Amino acid sequence: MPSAAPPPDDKLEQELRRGAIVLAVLSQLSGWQYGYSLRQLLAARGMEIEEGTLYPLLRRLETQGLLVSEWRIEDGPPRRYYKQSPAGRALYGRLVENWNGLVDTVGGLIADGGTGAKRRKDSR
Amino acid sequence: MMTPKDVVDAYVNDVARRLPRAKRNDVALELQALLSDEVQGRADAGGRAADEAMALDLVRAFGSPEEVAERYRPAAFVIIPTTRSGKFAAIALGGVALQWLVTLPAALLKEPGREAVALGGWWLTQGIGALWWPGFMVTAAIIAGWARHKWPPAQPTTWRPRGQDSDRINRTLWTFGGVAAALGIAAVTSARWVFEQFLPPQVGVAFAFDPDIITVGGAMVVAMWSLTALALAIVFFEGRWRPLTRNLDFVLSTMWFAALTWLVVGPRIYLSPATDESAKGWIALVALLVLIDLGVKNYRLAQRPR
Repeated sequence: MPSAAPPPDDKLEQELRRGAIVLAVLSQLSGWQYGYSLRQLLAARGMEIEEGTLYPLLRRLETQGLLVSEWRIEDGPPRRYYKQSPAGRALYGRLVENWNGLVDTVGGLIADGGTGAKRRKDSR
Repeated sequence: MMTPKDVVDAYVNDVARRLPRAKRNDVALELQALLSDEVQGRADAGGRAADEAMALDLVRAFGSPEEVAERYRPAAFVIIPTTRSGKFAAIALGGVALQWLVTLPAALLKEPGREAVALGGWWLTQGIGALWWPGFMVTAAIIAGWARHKWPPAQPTTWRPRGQDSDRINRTLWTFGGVAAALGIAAVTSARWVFEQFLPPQVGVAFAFDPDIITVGGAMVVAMWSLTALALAIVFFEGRWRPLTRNLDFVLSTMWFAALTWLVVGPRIYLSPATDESAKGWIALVALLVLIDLGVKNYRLAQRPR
């Protein structure tokens, strides 16, 4: 049976989060991490990402040349570890700049709460 | 009763068989390790041993094997962009319909009184055969989609405004077109007289019209020519198409298609059977061109913002 489509509110929230996930992942991959440890790390900082989203994303970022990976055996089964590639590092820097600009802009708009537009209209 | 490891293994196998061979083992090994870690993490968090239900909850939340394999697959190339799918379907199905429209009446007329046999024969040959067209279109779209994916344009094409007003007509070209049309009409109507003057008498006889067609068909064709000439003269003097003249042109084209179809399937045009058959073949071709023109006009009218 097909699963029911999420309500629009949920979908919009998911879309909002989706834009931040790559930035969040890259932020924690200046050093080597494997999928599960990365997910735990992000969750501990309040950024819960579903397994089904995070693990394929790591592969996609690697395919795009933003991450490098290697297999390692450290107290347990073999695990694939990831970290930023030079291109990933450069992208991360740009994303951080964009993010900060966006936070400032959107923060200003939210704080304004539409009163700015109202003031401009009244002053005409 | 399955162990958590059995559940994870079965799930990973189901995902892996949907992955490209080149990355199957690598992804499977990683996924197995990650899901085992996740099950163990849930067991530790719950303060109890991992069990089948716990593993099932995890993999079901992870997604169906199809969805997960889809997430791990590289982006596939697009065969038909969504903005073109409607047009693609219309051209594919329209092409089949057009072939049926031309071949079915011909097949039925070939065996009068044995329509069922003719229909069966037509279906097994030209009926199903017409499906070559959508097959050809899909093959071409696959090759084009693959080429777009393989060699994407270095820079996306920049939009430029269309320099010309599509409603404005080129009077010089129209003048040439009008002269050519007049010459064509003169050639058709006076073919017999021309041949009688310059060629052996039997050639002129071969182009003698059937007297019946001259009274009915001749009047109809002259009326149609007059109406068309009048409509086009209005456009010529105004220098541009208007919604009214566009609609009038569409109606006239439909009437032309009906008249030409009647000439093809209807009574004899020339007294000589060989000339008549040949003329009907040419008229059928013109009718087909008018039908294609109608399709194009209809598409353009439908595309215009109202």
